[in-house]
Amino acid sequence: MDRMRKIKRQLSLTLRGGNTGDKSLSETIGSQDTAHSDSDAMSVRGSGSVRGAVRGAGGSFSMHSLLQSYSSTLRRPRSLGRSLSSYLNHTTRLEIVHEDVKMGSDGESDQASATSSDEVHSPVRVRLRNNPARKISTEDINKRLSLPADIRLPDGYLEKFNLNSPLFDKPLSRRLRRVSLSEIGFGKLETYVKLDKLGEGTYATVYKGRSKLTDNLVALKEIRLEHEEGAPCTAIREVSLLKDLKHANIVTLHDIIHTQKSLTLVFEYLDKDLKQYLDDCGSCINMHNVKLFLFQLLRGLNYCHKRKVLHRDLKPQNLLINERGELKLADFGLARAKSIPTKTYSNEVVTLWYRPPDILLGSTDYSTQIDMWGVGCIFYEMSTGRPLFPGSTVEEELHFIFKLLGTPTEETWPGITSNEEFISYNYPRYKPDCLHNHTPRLDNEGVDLLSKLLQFEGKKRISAEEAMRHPYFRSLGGRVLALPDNTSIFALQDIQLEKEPGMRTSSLSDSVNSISRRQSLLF
Amino acid sequence: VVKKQVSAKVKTSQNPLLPLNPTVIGLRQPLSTLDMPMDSSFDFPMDISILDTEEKPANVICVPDYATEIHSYLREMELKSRPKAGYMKKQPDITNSMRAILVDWLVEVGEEYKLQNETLYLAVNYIDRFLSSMSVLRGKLQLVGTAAMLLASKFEEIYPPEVAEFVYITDDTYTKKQVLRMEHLVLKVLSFDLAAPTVNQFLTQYFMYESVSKKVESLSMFLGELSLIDSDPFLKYLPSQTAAAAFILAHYTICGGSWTTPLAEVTGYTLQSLTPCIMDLHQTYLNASQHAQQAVREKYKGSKYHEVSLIEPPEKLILS
Repeated sequence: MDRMRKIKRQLSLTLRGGNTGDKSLSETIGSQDTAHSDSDAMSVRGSGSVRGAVRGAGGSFSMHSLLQSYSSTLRRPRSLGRSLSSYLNHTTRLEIVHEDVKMGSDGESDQASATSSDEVHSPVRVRLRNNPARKISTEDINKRLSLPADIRLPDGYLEKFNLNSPLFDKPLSRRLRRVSLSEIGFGKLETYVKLDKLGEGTYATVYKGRSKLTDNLVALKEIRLEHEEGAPCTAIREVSLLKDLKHANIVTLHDIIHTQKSLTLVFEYLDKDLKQYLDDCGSCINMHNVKLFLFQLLRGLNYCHKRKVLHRDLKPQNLLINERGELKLADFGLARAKSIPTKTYSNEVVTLWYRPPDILLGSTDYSTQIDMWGVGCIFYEMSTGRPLFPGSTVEEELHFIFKLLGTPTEETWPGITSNEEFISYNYPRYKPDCLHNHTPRLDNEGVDLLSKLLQFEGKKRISAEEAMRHPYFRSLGGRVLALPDNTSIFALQDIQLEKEPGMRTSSLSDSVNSISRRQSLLF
Repeated sequence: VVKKQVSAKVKTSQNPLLPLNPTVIGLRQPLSTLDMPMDSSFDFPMDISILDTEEKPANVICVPDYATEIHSYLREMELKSRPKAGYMKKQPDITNSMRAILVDWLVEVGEEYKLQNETLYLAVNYIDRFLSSMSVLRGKLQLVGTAAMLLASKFEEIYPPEVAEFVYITDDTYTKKQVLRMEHLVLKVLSFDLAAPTVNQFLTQYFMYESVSKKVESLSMFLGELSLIDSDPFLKYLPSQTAAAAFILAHYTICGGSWTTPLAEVTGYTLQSLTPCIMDLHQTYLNASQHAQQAVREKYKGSKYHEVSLIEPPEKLILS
């Protein structure tokens, strides 16, 4: 407790009082201009006014006021962007991230923003004449901002760009790109129309939605923030990890809308997950398609593992599939979580069915192989239509595993006989069963791969990279191994999804999707 | 410039833990005492952040199949999550020494709540990136630091302390609402890019390629944390460089060692290219006992770090 009292500290007192001898500090204070003491006064006033401002703040934000705030920054050469306290007082501005102009790139971005800040009032046209300008088209803008080709820019945006041509003269800074994206409608809730509710938990609700920018369907994952604890860990991890993962077999995060009340993640929309797919084709997936799905799962996973990202919650519900047969990994909420919790935020019990035995027995030695066991379970489930180890408790889960693979011994799993949990369960000594007998539709190579995935010890399991090179996939040809990250395997002509004979089709979603496809072709 | 490593095989037998250690279960309790001995083969209580639990970037990284790819990925990412070295000159109200006071306090906070060292490194990265683009008054600097530590805990810890704890440690300087609003702002300014590579992650990688004694490991980590306190000069170096300098300096101090061939191959750094950073770190090491901020030295006086902060720094470096 004594220690705590020491930790508990008002650094502001230290910083205010204890720095008389600090040369750089007195220098700074000496050189301050009056504008700064204004903002200081604002910060002292504290949170009362801030709260009011938050309530009043709408989502709207005009380019004009943003650029004005930049120009006012420019008048204060020593200050860095806007002061923090003024941010807290003008929460409308929180809608956009202000990266500092001054810090941008030593003068160059100053210049750029100085010109653009005058945008509303004047001399840009003059610049245009100096730079005998070509007319800027939607395509130019799309290219410039790396937007999808089928995007619909808001009315008047094109003209604005034509007025504001300096953007096209200079390399685009990240900040300016972000400002431009926001002008187009990214990061704004009103850009997306909510359609049906797809699912609900206590902390997040998922809607099917439509982007007004592209007319494409999206999945909106809305996370409420009324939570006393601010942004939930799972959301923080999911967003920060997914932002860096750009791969044809990982669901794309299109946009993030962060307001005081909620955090909405905008994902690409895929028709169904693997579980629904299995149900829809009567639990009997065409074996060629099983191979295509498994390969895509491994491809996505290999990409993650190379980036130190473990998924840790693989299950058919987290694998999304579109009509083309593209499979994508979704739901990275548990990725990198330290321990695998038994309940999610939405209070659903995290399923044990795909969890490896070493983890079930208490190992926290998480490495990339943690995901490979689940791949085996999913491979089996696709091939047979049944979950492999559907246990409802840890004890039962392990029981299912040992019944099939044999109860481990010191020979099959060194160290296991000194594992206290294992001892306490006191399982009967099962002999390993023949995997072949359980997977009649799987060929020998498939069974071999399955057995390499279902290894007790993490370090003995095959890696995603090796698994992709397993003879089981030889029939897909070598080219699937050489595709760029962002290219789907269906870009190769000889790779095609086969028809599922038993597939039930829901006519409604089919027609919706075909319309949106046709429309996107029109752009 | 990321030079991809060509050869360098990774040793697989690195993991000192039994894969099925039942005592680990205890770790799932919130804020339990974490210095329980993890394995009978260690005769001193070890820092949990080095040895146990998975983040142990060691274990994630320690996968031979992926080690080199992960290294090049971290090198690519450290460039993307790099603060601007000279930002303090443009801050109107705060200074490097105020930042040092803040980081020093965060070191103590990390100790008090038994947080991973990685969490501290991440928090400092968030603070520096935030301050690279936002001007902050000194009265709000602790709020930024607190929110950064909260976010880093949420990203990194199994059981992050509650927001109320973070309010408490500031002696109620700020309200819970202010802390949460600042969390929101930090997320926005960092645009949710929280997975930043740190000195800690690189050190763990280096130890994997070149196994050294626990003492060298602890001393490297001590030197790495010293570099967090002083933004000048260390903000101008990348985490992979500072980690390399810390490794070399520790290796030299304990057993006269230096940079090694496998490490040079993996990293693409030569001893010569690291010299400026090594010199700066050596200077910091020499001055450490006189520094106004002492939290890092205090922390590493502990037996779980082999009391490495009590080791006398070498007067002169003769590296080869």
